[in-house]
Amino acid sequence: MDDSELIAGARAGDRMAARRLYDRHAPRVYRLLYRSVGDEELAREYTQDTFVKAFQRLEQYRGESAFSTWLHSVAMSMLFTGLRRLRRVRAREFELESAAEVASPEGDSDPHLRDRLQAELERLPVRLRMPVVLHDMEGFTHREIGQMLDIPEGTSKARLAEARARLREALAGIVAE
Amino acid sequence: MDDRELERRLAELKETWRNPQDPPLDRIWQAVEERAFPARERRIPPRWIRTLLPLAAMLVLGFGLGQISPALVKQSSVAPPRMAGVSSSAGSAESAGPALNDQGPFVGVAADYLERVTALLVTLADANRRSGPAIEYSTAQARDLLVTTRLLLDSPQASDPHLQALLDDLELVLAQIVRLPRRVAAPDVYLIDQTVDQREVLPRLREMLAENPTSQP
Repeated sequence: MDDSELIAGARAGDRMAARRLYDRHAPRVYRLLYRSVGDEELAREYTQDTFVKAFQRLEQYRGESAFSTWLHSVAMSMLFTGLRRLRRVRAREFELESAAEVASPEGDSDPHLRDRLQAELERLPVRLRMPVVLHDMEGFTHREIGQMLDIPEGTSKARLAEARARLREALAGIVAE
Repeated sequence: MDDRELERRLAELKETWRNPQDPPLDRIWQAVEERAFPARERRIPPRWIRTLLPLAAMLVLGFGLGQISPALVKQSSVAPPRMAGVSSSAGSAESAGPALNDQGPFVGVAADYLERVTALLVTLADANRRSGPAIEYSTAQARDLLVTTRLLLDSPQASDPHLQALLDDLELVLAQIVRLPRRVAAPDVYLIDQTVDQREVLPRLREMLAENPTSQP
Protein backbone atom coordinates (compact mmCIF):
# COMPACT_ATOMS: atom_id res chain seq x y z
CA MET A 1 0.00 0.00 0.00
CA ASP A 2 1.54 3.33 -0.98
CA ASP A 3 1.48 6.60 0.91
CA SER A 4 -1.48 8.02 -0.98
CA GLU A 5 -3.69 5.08 -0.01
CA LEU A 6 -2.60 5.33 3.59
CA ILE A 7 -3.20 9.08 3.56
CA ALA A 8 -6.71 8.54 2.20
CA GLY A 9 -7.34 6.00 4.93
CA ALA A 10 -5.98 8.26 7.65
CA ARG A 11 -8.11 11.13 6.38
CA ALA A 12 -11.15 8.90 6.64
CA GLY A 13 -10.27 8.21 10.26
CA ASP A 14 -8.65 4.81 9.76
CA ARG A 15 -6.18 4.61 12.62
CA MET A 16 -4.45 1.54 11.23
CA ALA A 17 -3.65 3.46 8.06
CA ALA A 18 -2.43 6.36 10.16
CA ARG A 19 -0.27 4.02 12.21
CA ARG A 20 1.28 2.48 9.08
CA LEU A 21 2.00 5.92 7.75
CA TYR A 22 3.61 6.79 11.07
CA ASP A 23 5.66 3.57 11.14
CA ARG A 24 6.91 4.27 7.66
CA HIS A 25 8.07 7.83 8.30
CA ALA A 26 8.64 8.24 12.01
CA PRO A 27 12.16 6.75 12.20
CA ARG A 28 13.55 9.18 9.65
CA VAL A 29 11.71 12.15 11.14
CA TYR A 30 12.99 11.20 14.59
CA ARG A 31 16.55 10.79 13.36
CA LEU A 32 16.50 14.16 11.65
CA LEU A 33 15.08 15.83 14.75
CA TYR A 34 17.57 14.08 16.97
CA ARG A 35 20.41 15.21 14.74
CA SER A 36 19.02 18.72 14.82
CA VAL A 37 18.75 19.01 18.59
CA GLY A 38 21.08 16.28 19.91
CA ASP A 39 18.69 15.41 22.70
CA GLU A 40 16.52 12.30 22.82
CA GLU A 41 13.77 13.81 24.92
CA LEU A 42 13.43 16.84 22.69
CA ALA A 43 13.58 14.66 19.59
CA ARG A 44 10.72 12.53 20.98
CA GLU A 45 8.70 15.60 21.86
CA TYR A 46 9.17 17.20 18.44
CA THR A 47 8.45 13.92 16.64
CA GLN A 48 5.24 13.62 18.60
CA ASP A 49 4.31 17.24 17.82
CA THR A 50 5.13 16.67 14.17
CA PHE A 51 2.79 13.72 13.76
CA VAL A 52 0.01 15.26 15.80
CA LYS A 53 0.16 18.38 13.64
CA ALA A 54 0.53 16.34 10.44
CA PHE A 55 -2.56 14.22 11.17
CA GLN A 56 -4.55 17.26 12.18
CA ARG A 57 -3.57 19.02 8.96
CA LEU A 58 -3.62 16.02 6.69
CA GLU A 59 -6.39 17.54 4.60
CA GLN A 60 -4.07 20.39 3.72
CA TYR A 61 -1.65 18.00 2.05
CA ARG A 62 -2.47 18.20 -1.64
CA GLY A 63 0.14 15.89 -3.04
CA GLU A 64 2.11 18.67 -4.70
CA SER A 65 5.29 17.31 -3.12
CA ALA A 66 6.19 13.90 -1.77
CA PHE A 67 4.47 13.13 1.50
CA SER A 68 7.82 12.73 3.22
CA THR A 69 8.85 16.23 2.08
CA TRP A 70 5.61 17.68 3.40
CA LEU A 71 5.98 15.77 6.64
CA HIS A 72 9.56 16.96 7.08
CA SER A 73 8.43 20.53 6.50
CA VAL A 74 5.99 20.03 9.39
CA ALA A 75 8.89 18.60 11.41
CA MET A 76 11.05 21.61 10.62
CA SER A 77 8.24 23.91 11.66
CA MET A 78 7.90 22.03 14.95
CA LEU A 79 11.66 22.11 15.40
CA PHE A 80 11.99 25.85 14.90
CA THR A 81 8.96 26.59 17.05
CA GLY A 82 10.35 24.31 19.74
CA LEU A 83 13.80 25.82 19.55
CA ARG A 84 12.43 29.34 19.80
CA ARG A 85 10.45 28.31 22.87
CA LEU A 86 13.44 26.56 24.32
CA ARG A 87 15.65 29.54 23.64
CA ARG A 88 13.28 31.82 25.50
CA VAL A 89 13.11 29.46 28.44
CA ARG A 90 16.81 28.87 28.53
CA ALA A 91 17.85 32.32 27.40
CA ARG A 92 20.35 32.74 30.17
CA GLU A 93 21.89 29.29 29.86
CA PHE A 94 22.04 29.75 26.12
CA GLU A 95 23.93 33.00 26.53
CA LEU A 96 26.34 31.37 28.93
CA GLU A 97 26.89 28.45 26.55
CA SER A 98 27.51 30.81 23.67
CA ALA A 99 29.92 32.80 25.74
CA ALA A 100 31.74 29.63 26.70
CA GLU A 101 31.94 28.59 23.08
CA VAL A 102 33.37 31.93 22.06
CA ALA A 103 35.85 31.82 24.89
CA SER A 104 36.97 28.29 24.16
CA PRO A 105 40.41 28.10 22.66
CA GLU A 106 40.52 27.74 18.90
CA GLY A 107 43.11 25.75 17.01
CA ASP A 108 44.54 22.34 17.47
CA SER A 109 43.34 21.45 20.96
CA ASP A 110 41.27 18.70 19.37
CA PRO A 111 43.58 16.50 17.33
CA HIS A 112 40.87 14.41 15.70
CA LEU A 113 39.50 15.81 12.50
CA ARG A 114 36.21 14.00 12.88
CA ASP A 115 35.66 15.35 16.36
CA ARG A 116 36.60 18.79 15.24
CA LEU A 117 34.29 18.62 12.24
CA GLN A 118 31.50 17.50 14.55
CA ALA A 119 32.20 20.36 16.93
CA GLU A 120 32.29 22.90 14.12
CA LEU A 121 29.08 21.52 12.66
CA GLU A 122 27.34 21.87 15.99
CA ARG A 123 28.69 25.36 16.33
CA LEU A 124 27.11 26.48 13.06
CA PRO A 125 23.94 28.53 13.42
CA VAL A 126 20.80 26.47 12.80
CA ARG A 127 20.04 28.21 9.50
CA LEU A 128 23.40 26.99 8.15
CA ARG A 129 23.53 23.67 9.95
CA MET A 130 20.15 22.47 8.69
CA PRO A 131 21.09 22.48 4.98
CA VAL A 132 24.21 20.45 5.83
CA VAL A 133 22.20 17.95 7.87
CA LEU A 134 19.39 17.74 5.35
CA HIS A 135 21.53 17.65 2.21
CA ASP A 136 24.80 16.01 3.15
CA MET A 137 23.53 13.65 5.81
CA GLU A 138 19.88 12.99 5.04
CA GLY A 139 20.21 13.16 1.28
CA PHE A 140 17.42 15.60 0.53
CA THR A 141 17.64 17.71 -2.62
CA HIS A 142 17.80 21.49 -2.48
CA ARG A 143 14.31 21.62 -3.89
CA GLU A 144 13.03 19.46 -1.05
CA ILE A 145 14.99 21.45 1.50
CA GLY A 146 13.51 24.65 0.10
CA GLN A 147 10.02 23.22 0.57
CA MET A 148 10.80 22.01 4.06
CA LEU A 149 12.37 25.22 5.28
CA ASP A 150 10.09 27.44 3.23
CA ILE A 151 13.00 29.09 1.45
CA PRO A 152 13.88 29.29 -2.26
CA GLU A 153 15.96 26.46 -3.66
CA GLY A 154 18.76 28.95 -4.37
CA THR A 155 18.83 30.04 -0.75
CA SER A 156 19.27 26.43 0.31
CA LYS A 157 22.24 26.11 -2.05
CA ALA A 158 23.72 29.40 -0.85
CA ARG A 159 23.38 28.42 2.80
CA LEU A 160 24.98 25.05 2.19
CA ALA A 161 27.86 26.72 0.37
CA GLU A 162 28.31 29.18 3.23
CA ALA A 163 28.19 26.40 5.81
CA ARG A 164 30.75 24.35 3.93
CA ALA A 165 33.00 27.37 3.54
CA ARG A 166 32.89 27.96 7.28
CA LEU A 167 33.63 24.31 7.98
CA ARG A 168 36.52 24.27 5.52
CA GLU A 169 37.93 27.42 7.04
CA ALA A 170 37.61 26.06 10.55
CA LEU A 171 39.29 22.80 9.59
CA ALA A 172 42.02 24.32 7.42
CA GLY A 173 44.50 24.53 10.28
CA ILE A 174 44.11 20.91 11.26
CA VAL A 175 44.42 19.58 7.73
CA ALA A 176 47.50 21.69 7.18
CA GLU A 177 49.10 19.96 10.14
CA MET B 1 40.54 20.97 2.39
CA ASP B 2 38.48 21.15 -0.78
CA ASP B 3 34.74 20.67 -1.15
CA ARG B 4 35.06 17.05 -2.19
CA GLU B 5 37.18 16.22 0.81
CA LEU B 6 34.72 17.97 3.09
CA GLU B 7 31.84 16.02 1.55
CA ARG B 8 33.74 12.81 2.17
CA ARG B 9 34.37 13.77 5.78
CA LEU B 10 30.73 14.72 6.27
CA ALA B 11 29.64 11.39 4.78
CA GLU B 12 31.87 9.64 7.30
CA LEU B 13 30.53 11.77 10.10
CA LYS B 14 27.00 10.87 9.06
CA GLU B 15 27.65 7.31 10.22
CA THR B 16 28.58 8.35 13.72
CA TRP B 17 27.33 11.86 14.46
CA ARG B 18 24.20 12.01 16.56
CA ASN B 19 23.04 8.61 15.47
CA PRO B 20 20.10 7.94 17.74
CA GLN B 21 19.28 4.59 19.23
CA ASP B 22 16.04 3.04 18.06
CA PRO B 23 13.32 5.55 18.82
CA PRO B 24 10.52 4.47 21.16
CA LEU B 25 8.04 4.40 18.30
CA ASP B 26 5.21 2.75 20.23
CA ARG B 27 5.44 5.24 23.05
CA ILE B 28 5.47 8.19 20.69
CA TRP B 29 2.56 6.74 18.72
CA GLN B 30 0.51 6.33 21.85
CA ALA B 31 0.89 10.02 22.61
CA VAL B 32 0.22 10.97 18.98
CA GLU B 33 -2.94 8.87 18.90
CA GLU B 34 -4.21 10.34 22.15
CA ARG B 35 -3.61 13.88 21.02
CA ALA B 36 -4.40 13.73 17.31
CA PHE B 37 -7.27 11.34 16.91
CA PRO B 38 -9.58 11.93 19.82
CA ALA B 39 -8.95 15.64 19.34
CA ARG B 40 -9.75 15.30 15.68
CA GLU B 41 -12.96 13.43 16.32
CA ARG B 42 -14.01 15.78 19.07
CA ARG B 43 -12.72 18.93 17.62
CA ILE B 44 -15.05 20.02 14.89
CA PRO B 45 -18.41 18.28 14.97
CA PRO B 46 -19.15 18.54 18.68
CA ARG B 47 -18.07 22.15 18.71
CA TRP B 48 -20.22 22.82 15.71
CA ILE B 49 -23.07 21.06 17.32
CA ARG B 50 -22.49 22.93 20.56
CA THR B 51 -22.27 26.18 18.65
CA LEU B 52 -24.88 25.85 15.99
CA LEU B 53 -27.64 23.86 17.57
CA PRO B 54 -28.06 26.28 20.45
CA LEU B 55 -27.96 29.06 17.90
CA ALA B 56 -30.60 27.32 15.85
CA ALA B 57 -32.66 26.84 18.98
CA MET B 58 -32.16 30.48 19.81
CA LEU B 59 -33.38 31.46 16.37
CA VAL B 60 -36.40 29.25 16.60
CA LEU B 61 -37.20 31.06 19.82
CA GLY B 62 -36.47 34.35 18.10
CA PHE B 63 -38.82 33.31 15.36
CA GLY B 64 -41.45 32.57 17.96
CA LEU B 65 -40.93 36.01 19.47
CA GLY B 66 -41.30 37.60 16.07
CA GLN B 67 -44.52 35.71 15.46
CA ILE B 68 -46.10 36.73 18.72
CA SER B 69 -44.86 40.31 18.77
CA PRO B 70 -48.29 41.67 17.66
CA ALA B 71 -49.81 39.82 20.57
CA LEU B 72 -47.28 41.44 22.88
CA VAL B 73 -48.31 44.83 21.60
CA LYS B 74 -51.92 44.00 22.37
CA GLN B 75 -50.98 42.87 25.87
CA SER B 76 -48.99 45.99 26.65
CA SER B 77 -51.39 47.17 29.35
CA VAL B 78 -50.85 43.99 31.40
CA ALA B 79 -47.31 43.15 30.35
CA PRO B 80 -44.37 43.21 32.81
CA PRO B 81 -42.27 46.40 32.80
CA ARG B 82 -39.73 45.05 30.34
CA MET B 83 -42.32 44.08 27.79
CA ALA B 84 -44.13 47.34 28.37
CA GLY B 85 -40.95 48.88 27.03
CA VAL B 86 -41.13 46.63 24.00
CA SER B 87 -44.71 47.48 23.28
CA SER B 88 -44.07 51.16 23.84
CA SER B 89 -41.69 51.03 20.96
CA ALA B 90 -44.58 50.10 18.78
CA GLY B 91 -46.66 53.00 20.04
CA SER B 92 -48.96 53.96 22.85
CA ALA B 93 -52.01 51.99 23.90
CA GLU B 94 -54.16 54.23 21.71
CA SER B 95 -51.97 53.63 18.68
CA ALA B 96 -51.57 49.90 19.23
CA GLY B 97 -53.99 49.05 16.45
CA PRO B 98 -52.36 51.06 13.69
CA ALA B 99 -48.92 50.03 14.91
CA LEU B 100 -49.95 46.39 14.68
CA ASN B 101 -51.20 46.95 11.17
CA ASP B 102 -47.95 48.66 10.28
CA GLN B 103 -45.92 45.84 11.79
CA GLY B 104 -47.79 43.09 9.93
CA PRO B 105 -45.63 42.98 6.78
CA PHE B 106 -42.51 43.54 8.84
CA VAL B 107 -43.29 40.60 11.11
CA GLY B 108 -43.83 38.46 8.01
CA VAL B 109 -40.48 39.45 6.54
CA ALA B 110 -38.74 39.02 9.88
CA ALA B 111 -40.35 35.61 10.42
CA ASP B 112 -39.28 34.47 6.97
CA TYR B 113 -35.79 35.75 7.64
CA LEU B 114 -35.54 33.97 10.97
CA GLU B 115 -36.78 30.75 9.39
CA ARG B 116 -34.07 30.99 6.76
CA VAL B 117 -31.38 31.71 9.33
CA THR B 118 -32.51 28.70 11.35
CA ALA B 119 -32.50 26.52 8.24
CA LEU B 120 -29.02 27.75 7.36
CA LEU B 121 -27.60 26.93 10.77
CA VAL B 122 -29.17 23.50 10.82
CA THR B 123 -27.84 22.85 7.30
CA LEU B 124 -24.39 23.93 8.37
CA ALA B 125 -24.42 21.72 11.42
CA ASP B 126 -25.62 18.76 9.36
CA ALA B 127 -23.15 19.38 6.54
CA ASN B 128 -20.30 19.61 8.97
CA ARG B 129 -21.11 16.23 10.41
CA ARG B 130 -20.78 14.63 7.00
CA SER B 131 -18.46 16.63 4.73
CA GLY B 132 -17.45 20.10 3.65
CA PRO B 133 -19.11 20.93 0.29
CA ALA B 134 -22.24 22.43 1.82
CA ILE B 135 -20.12 25.02 3.58
CA GLU B 136 -19.64 26.98 0.40
CA TYR B 137 -23.36 26.88 -0.33
CA SER B 138 -24.17 27.90 3.22
CA THR B 139 -21.67 30.72 3.09
CA ALA B 140 -23.47 32.13 0.07
CA GLN B 141 -26.76 31.86 1.94
CA ALA B 142 -25.24 33.52 4.98
CA ARG B 143 -24.08 36.38 2.79
CA ASP B 144 -27.62 36.82 1.51
CA LEU B 145 -29.03 36.67 5.02
CA LEU B 146 -26.45 39.17 6.22
CA VAL B 147 -27.78 41.67 3.70
CA THR B 148 -31.33 41.02 4.95
CA THR B 149 -30.17 41.44 8.55
CA ARG B 150 -28.72 44.83 7.75
CA LEU B 151 -31.89 45.88 5.93
CA LEU B 152 -33.96 44.81 8.93
CA LEU B 153 -31.63 46.66 11.26
CA ASP B 154 -32.11 49.83 9.21
CA SER B 155 -35.86 49.40 9.17
CA PRO B 156 -37.68 51.88 11.42
CA GLN B 157 -40.07 49.06 12.32
CA ALA B 158 -37.31 47.09 13.97
CA SER B 159 -37.11 49.68 16.71
CA ASP B 160 -37.72 47.21 19.52
CA PRO B 161 -34.45 47.27 21.49
CA HIS B 162 -34.50 43.52 22.11
CA LEU B 163 -35.09 42.74 18.47
CA GLN B 164 -32.38 45.25 17.54
CA ALA B 165 -29.97 43.55 19.91
CA LEU B 166 -30.85 40.12 18.52
CA LEU B 167 -30.36 41.36 14.96
CA ASP B 168 -27.05 42.94 15.95
CA ASP B 169 -25.82 39.65 17.29
CA LEU B 170 -27.11 37.70 14.33
CA GLU B 171 -25.35 40.15 12.05
CA LEU B 172 -22.11 39.36 13.83
CA VAL B 173 -22.64 35.58 13.74
CA LEU B 174 -23.62 35.65 10.07
CA ALA B 175 -20.62 37.82 9.25
CA GLN B 176 -18.42 35.24 10.91
CA ILE B 177 -20.07 32.42 8.96
CA VAL B 178 -19.55 34.36 5.72
CA ARG B 179 -15.85 34.55 6.52
CA LEU B 180 -15.56 30.83 7.26
CA PRO B 181 -13.09 29.10 4.97
CA ARG B 182 -14.22 26.10 2.96
CA ARG B 183 -12.31 23.86 5.29
CA VAL B 184 -13.60 24.84 8.64
CA ALA B 185 -10.97 24.83 11.38
CA ALA B 186 -11.49 24.84 15.09
CA PRO B 187 -10.29 28.43 15.62
CA ASP B 188 -12.95 29.72 13.21
CA VAL B 189 -15.69 27.92 15.04
CA TYR B 190 -14.18 28.98 18.33
CA LEU B 191 -14.58 32.62 17.33
CA ILE B 192 -18.27 32.12 16.62
CA ASP B 193 -18.59 30.23 19.85
CA GLN B 194 -16.88 33.05 21.68
CA THR B 195 -19.16 35.65 20.11
CA VAL B 196 -22.24 33.77 21.23
CA ASP B 197 -20.78 33.40 24.72
CA GLN B 198 -19.49 36.93 25.11
CA ARG B 199 -22.72 38.50 23.96
CA GLU B 200 -24.71 36.22 26.24
CA VAL B 201 -27.20 35.68 23.47
CA LEU B 202 -28.77 32.60 24.96
CA PRO B 203 -29.16 33.91 28.53
CA ARG B 204 -30.77 37.06 27.17
CA LEU B 205 -33.25 35.05 25.19
CA ARG B 206 -34.01 32.80 28.12
CA GLU B 207 -34.56 35.88 30.26
CA MET B 208 -36.99 37.31 27.74
CA LEU B 209 -38.84 34.03 27.56
CA ALA B 210 -38.97 33.64 31.31
CA GLU B 211 -40.50 37.05 31.61
CA ASN B 212 -42.97 36.29 28.84
CA PRO B 213 -44.18 32.72 29.08
CA THR B 214 -46.69 33.35 26.31
CA SER B 215 -43.82 33.82 23.93
CA GLN B 216 -42.79 30.17 24.09
CA PRO B 217 -42.93 28.83 20.52
